[in-house]
Amino acid sequence: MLKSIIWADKPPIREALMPNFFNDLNLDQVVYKINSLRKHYDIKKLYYMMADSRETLAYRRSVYSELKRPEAYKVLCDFSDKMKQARDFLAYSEEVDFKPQKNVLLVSAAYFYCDAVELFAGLKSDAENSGFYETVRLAGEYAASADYRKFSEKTRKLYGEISGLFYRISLKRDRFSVKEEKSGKNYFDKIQRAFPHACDTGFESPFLHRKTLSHLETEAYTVLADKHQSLIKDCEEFALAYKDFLSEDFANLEYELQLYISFNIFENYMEENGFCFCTPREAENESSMFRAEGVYDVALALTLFNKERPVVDNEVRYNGNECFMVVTGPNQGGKTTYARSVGQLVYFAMMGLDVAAKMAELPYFDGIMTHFSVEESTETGQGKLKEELTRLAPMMKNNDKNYFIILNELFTTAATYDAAVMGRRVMDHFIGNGCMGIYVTHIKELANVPKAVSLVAVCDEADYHKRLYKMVRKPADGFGYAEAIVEKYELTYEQLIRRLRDAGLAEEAEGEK
Amino acid sequence: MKINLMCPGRDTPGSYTYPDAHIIAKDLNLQLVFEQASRGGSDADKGHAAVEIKDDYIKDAMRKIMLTPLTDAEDILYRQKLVKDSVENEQFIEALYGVAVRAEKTVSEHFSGAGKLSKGAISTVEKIKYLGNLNSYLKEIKELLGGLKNRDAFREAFEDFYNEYNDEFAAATEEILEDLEFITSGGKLSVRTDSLTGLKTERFFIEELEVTEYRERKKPKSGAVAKVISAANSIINPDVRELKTETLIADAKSLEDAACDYILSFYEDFIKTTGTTLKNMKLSSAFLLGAARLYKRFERFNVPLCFPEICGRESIDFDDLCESCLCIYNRKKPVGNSVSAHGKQIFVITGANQGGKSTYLRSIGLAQVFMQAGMFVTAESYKSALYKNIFTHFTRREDSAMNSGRLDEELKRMSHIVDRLTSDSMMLLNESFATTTEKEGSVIAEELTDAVLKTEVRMFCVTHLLEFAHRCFEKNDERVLFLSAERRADGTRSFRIKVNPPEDTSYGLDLYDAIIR
Repeated sequence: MLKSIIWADKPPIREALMPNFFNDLNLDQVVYKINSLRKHYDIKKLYYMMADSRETLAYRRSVYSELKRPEAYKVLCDFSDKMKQARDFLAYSEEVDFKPQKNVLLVSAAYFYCDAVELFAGLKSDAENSGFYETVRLAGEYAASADYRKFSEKTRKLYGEISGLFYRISLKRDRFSVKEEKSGKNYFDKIQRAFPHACDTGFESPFLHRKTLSHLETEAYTVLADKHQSLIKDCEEFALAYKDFLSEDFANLEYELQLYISFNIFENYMEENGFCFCTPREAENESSMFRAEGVYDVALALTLFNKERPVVDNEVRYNGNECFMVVTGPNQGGKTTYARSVGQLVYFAMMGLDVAAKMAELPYFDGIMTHFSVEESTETGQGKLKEELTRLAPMMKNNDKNYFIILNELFTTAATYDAAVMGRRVMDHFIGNGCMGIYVTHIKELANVPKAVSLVAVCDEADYHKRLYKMVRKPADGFGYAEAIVEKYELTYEQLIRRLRDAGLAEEAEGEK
Repeated sequence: MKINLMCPGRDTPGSYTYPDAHIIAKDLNLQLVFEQASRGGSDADKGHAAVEIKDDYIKDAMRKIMLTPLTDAEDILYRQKLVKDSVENEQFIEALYGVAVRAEKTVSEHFSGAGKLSKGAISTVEKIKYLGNLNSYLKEIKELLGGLKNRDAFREAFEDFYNEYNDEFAAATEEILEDLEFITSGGKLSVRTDSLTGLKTERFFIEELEVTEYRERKKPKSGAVAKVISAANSIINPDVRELKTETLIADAKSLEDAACDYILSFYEDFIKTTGTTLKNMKLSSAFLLGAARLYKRFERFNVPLCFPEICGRESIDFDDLCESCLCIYNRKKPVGNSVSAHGKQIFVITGANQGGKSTYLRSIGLAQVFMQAGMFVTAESYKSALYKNIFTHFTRREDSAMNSGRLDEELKRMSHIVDRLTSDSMMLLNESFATTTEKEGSVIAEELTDAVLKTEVRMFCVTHLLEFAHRCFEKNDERVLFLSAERRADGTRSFRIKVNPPEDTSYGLDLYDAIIR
């Protein structure tokens, strides 16, 4: 009855395999974090479901932009919460054996379900003819049906009566009494004398850890049951009539919504910590238009959060007919991080979500392929090259068009000449198939391939040890950075003055002595 | 609730200790001061080592607090008042320390497991006992305070305490502690549920709790007679039921425990902060007791004592400043020094061996450390600025054999100091760069001095590098003050350090020879 809100042209699915590039781009870490921000849901698989058509991509973007509207976001979160409570109560009800308890729990489940359905059906927006609102409209029809309304009325009546039940237990040595009344006394008054600002929250029931009734609670129930016989009977009838009230459509809707809700939570979390996100624009013309500003590695940002170290952002720009960026530069200069950040950008764009950048405009891609060298591999020389080629082969075999390719340090164990030739062939292959991509390498010759643009990870001009983690468009220079010899204790007058000045102790140089 | 025996609004000495505090302690021989402060008992001064009572905790407290400098004038004045009050009320501070020692033991035992159940959690009964103990320590402190003759003494320090451990709180706590006895003595508890979910309640609220006369809960009875009695009871009073099975008794017990824990939960902060307060009070009262004892001891040695004054960084001014460790060693007042220097950033102290140079340097270092711990100084008067960092760079003559390894080590230490130098630093250099030739050493020292003059760092420099001293002197920089050991007309030494140009030595003769010959 309801439509999928993730797929434009097919029903909801629950299963998906992790894309091959996921770990290379450290997206597993990102999704892990997202999941930790949206507990109680297993959202991993949702993030494996990339859009498989332009229609689906557009559909997702429209759903996500709707969800970001504060009123809609609140309703959809509340809807999820209520659905979750309904499911929890149902599961609880199935777990216990004591019939009256089972019935009462089913009523509670139904109550939250009704809340959820009515919340969702009541969602309002200006964008009423969008695909998402078709689903809202269908939900509205369901909520207006006579069957549903009868069910909802009964549910609310019973739930109200159940909620009114309470009792008081008095323990005195080996006797106890249960009464459905309040004594009017409150021990908290005494506590308040010592702690005037305290408030009485009561204490957690020691019987809460087990779902079934404790013996003492069972005794209390018999006292209550005696006085509310008709209510107990009504619940029993309700349970018989509405055993399977929860519609699978709404369960799927709840599940699919988690993609958008979790990402929105994550996006806000990142923004609160000073990282920006933006909605990507789809490049209009087919000729590979791809540019973005302020692009950063989300996974790296997450690990640097608490260390208060800045995360460097970079620019992505493919001009004219450029379709491969060849990144060279010193080790630890941020090349791989850059490649990852661009890969993540493409991935999030293909998910129909926002991307980690200040601005982004990119074309539609059919998919992402990555090849990262396996650093932990204990294999050496020939073995590693073979392993690399084995992984590369399937990527090239299908002649996939319109993919985004990320190659990181291919053929490092081969001789430079061989590596240059092989690298060239690989690039030619992908460029020939109309793919775009990034190639991180030490081989500066690769930067001269037609349709490639050379980027270099630059260091501070004044201090070659200081990495700036910035990628700059310039010819590959193949510069090697030998470790400079540190002057031993830096205690000459000039060095002292420099050190003291750097520490803010001495005034600026006066050039004397 | 804090007992602020350290700083205004604080009961801890602060977290900033001197960088490489252990080096300062070693170079200034502070160990002797810590040890002396830890000695109690009136016989301590008569030289009967056997009857002295040493308290290692006080020694550690002195170390910890004296090496944690106060750098705020307000903090110093506050601490000085505390030290003065402690000197005047030594018995009180000793008694307070006594309470703190016992209290701290209770606190650490409580957390180290004496009161823990096998699974690692502290039982409700133990918690109640612990709360009772903490409460009684606080009562004891209140009584001690009541016995102070001078109402003004320690007033600020205990302001928080008076406010938070007020009579109403103390009275209510006593009552609640009595009620909590029901868990061991037996009593009546009634609780009300919240609204029910799935026939269960999430929370209970306590309506009544009281101790009734002691009677142990009976084992459930079985048998025909018990059934008849039970049936009869339920007819007489249908609402009252019996805890007739083991499981029902267990349920009742867990409800009682949970109710107790709830009441105790309100005391959680109180328990935690009181524990910390009492622990911190052990440290602060140990320090104050140690300081008071030191003061009395110096007084008996006839050493001049003053509470130092704080001035700007351009001045240092003292009269009859005695080296504190020498006072302790000699058990009498040693030769003191006086100086009144304004606009002098660097002191260069020269002179032959055994002239009292190192003593002079240490007397300043010690005075500064004492001052910045809010203590007194062994001088007629002492006036100085506050320094966040004190760096000592001492080379002991006995190990100043010339070899490159030692110079390497020495320069490494110096470089380490430069790394952490701040404008508000005081550097004490004792025979630095003596591990190389005089010529090389002088160059290093000169360059360092010139660089330091570009900053606001205060430096005292004892040196035998006369080439360095003379070249410095010839530059005629007003910010450098030269001092040397006083030599009487008859050639004997007075061990006084006076403002004087660097001593005439072979340096002058060498120069003469070089030019004239």
